Amino acid sequence: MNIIGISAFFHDSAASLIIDGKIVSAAQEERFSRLKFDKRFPEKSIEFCLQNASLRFQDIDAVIFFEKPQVKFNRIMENIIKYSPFTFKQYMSALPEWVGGKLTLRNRLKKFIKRKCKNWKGKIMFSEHHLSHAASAFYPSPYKDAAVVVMDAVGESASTSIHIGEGNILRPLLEQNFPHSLGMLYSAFTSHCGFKVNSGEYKLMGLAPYGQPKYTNLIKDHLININEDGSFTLNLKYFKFHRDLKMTNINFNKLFKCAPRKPEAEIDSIYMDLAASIQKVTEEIIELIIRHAKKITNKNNLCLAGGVALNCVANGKVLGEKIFDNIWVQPAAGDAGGSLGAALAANHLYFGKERIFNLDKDLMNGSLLGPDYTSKETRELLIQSGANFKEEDETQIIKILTSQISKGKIVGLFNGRMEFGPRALGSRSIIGDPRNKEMQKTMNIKVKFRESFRPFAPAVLKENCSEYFELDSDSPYMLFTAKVHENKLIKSEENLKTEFSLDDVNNLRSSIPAVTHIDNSARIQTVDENSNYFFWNFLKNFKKETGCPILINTSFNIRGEPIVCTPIDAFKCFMGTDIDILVINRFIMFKEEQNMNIYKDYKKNYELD
Amino acid sequence: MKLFLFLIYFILIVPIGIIRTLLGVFLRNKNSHSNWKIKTHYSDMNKTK
Ligand SMILES: [Fe+2]
Repeated sequence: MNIIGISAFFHDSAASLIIDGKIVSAAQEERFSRLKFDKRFPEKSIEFCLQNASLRFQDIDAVIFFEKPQVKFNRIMENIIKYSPFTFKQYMSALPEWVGGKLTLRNRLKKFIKRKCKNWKGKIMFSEHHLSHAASAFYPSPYKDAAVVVMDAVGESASTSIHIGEGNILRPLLEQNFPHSLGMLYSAFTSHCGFKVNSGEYKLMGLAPYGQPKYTNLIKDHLININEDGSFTLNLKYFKFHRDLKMTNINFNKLFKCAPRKPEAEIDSIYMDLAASIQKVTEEIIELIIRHAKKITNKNNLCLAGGVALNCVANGKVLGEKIFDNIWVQPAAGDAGGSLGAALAANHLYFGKERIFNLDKDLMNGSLLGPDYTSKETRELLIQSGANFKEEDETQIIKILTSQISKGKIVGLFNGRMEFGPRALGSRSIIGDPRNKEMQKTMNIKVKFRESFRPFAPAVLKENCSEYFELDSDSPYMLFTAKVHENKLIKSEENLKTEFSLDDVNNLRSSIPAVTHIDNSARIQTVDENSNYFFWNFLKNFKKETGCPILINTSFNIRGEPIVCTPIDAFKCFMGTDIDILVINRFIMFKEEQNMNIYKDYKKNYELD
Repeated sequence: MKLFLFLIYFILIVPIGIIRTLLGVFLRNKNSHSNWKIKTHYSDMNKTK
């Protein structure tokens, strides 16, 4: 049975394909359209899923959309009525979109399919938003049974939900509804601190360690009422998102005695303190929710999804609390992953198919579910781009990369299938030496063109993880943060400070300074032989030559750009940045050997995120 | 289209909103110790609602 799952029209559209329960392909539309967080109907992603599996539309048995448009529309309208006359702007912005096609999604899907295949006999289906997330977390996990927690901004109306998964059955237990939403609360602070909603949450999390959680009590006394069972109510007096296009209102500014930060303005310490405070409150709430999930399910395993589950700092803390024996987080925890969950929900819950699962390994194929390119295709595309390249075998490439990286060079690494989800995991990554104290600054400013305070993540050989980090579980998808091990830290007066400024990012904090955040934490990716063989082999060799089993791994893109998808995208990014060496599968390119007149104004192509 | 939406908002939505708000004053449920709602099943995947 072949099922296509689709998520679209909110943020980060995507399509996924499962064949007889096996996850075959998945990709976000932004990677093909080159428009970050593209929310349009994912035509190109669907095309890719079919092509990759050599299928035609007539081979597809069902197409399932990741949420219920009618229910979502009802919630929006109810909200508009409830808070009228203050909802005029929201109404005028939302209504045309809904009337213009979102409401008649079934017909739109039918038309799209008809264009691909005249007499298609398959089913068009609709999952619930939180079911899609829950299914994306439970079915690919390596657990036979588990508690499943979904936390995001909002779907149809649920914002937080607890489910139970047993075998191929997933059941809902509890949910909380909009406007009481942890995702919305975090986004409100994201927006107040001058970052974009739906993409800047990650920056806020990265900023939090610079600040002091001075406002946690103020938040808990005024903004949110938290119950012992993890449920909560927001005090809407301080917010605007439920009735307007903005997140917060004047009462919010008065409460914290600070106006919203202008995007790109200098970051004052108050914004760092706000970031630290909301991060702390979020962690406390997540812990209560997860404790409640444990209480009502009594399972040993936990699966997480929804945008809030991308908060790897909170995930790391929950892991450390050992509320559950094991935790698995869907790598595409945001709405893109809903496409995969919807397809899996249809397969197991609607068609009643048995679940294939493996206690040792999840079913995500290391999240390497996107396109790859043969040598022939790569060569043609590189010639077309005007690249000057050489072909080498894998051993030779790894040898060159190891030696160049340890000399301070930065590498663009494009290898095999593209990752599904927001993180690059070694297939579309920029790589550097974590021991190099200049590397964080250089990579942020000269390569990624992004804010200098933002940390980089370490990719570490799984077997060496606990030597360097206080983490004793796997983190193959960079979804858990943990402290760098005490014996790798550098003890100096500078490093004993607890109050930081943005300049402190340059202090030498550990033997791997480029991946040690200001609070000595790191967002870890553990790499093993099975998840990404080439990357693992590369790390092995780097360790053999340098003694260090770690590389900096950041996504292969610049600020505002979707992660590169094709060899052409990779070559353009290489030429537009200070990346020194580019590897695309078995092809290697050095910057000094390229025609430097190509793609000079790369940065201007992308709007800041 | 914009004018039509504008009229609907002020002729229909705002009055309904006001009536609802007035009713809501009497029906408000305060002092709850939990905001969780029990959910027993997912809705039919064949339907958009
Ligand atoms: Fe979501």
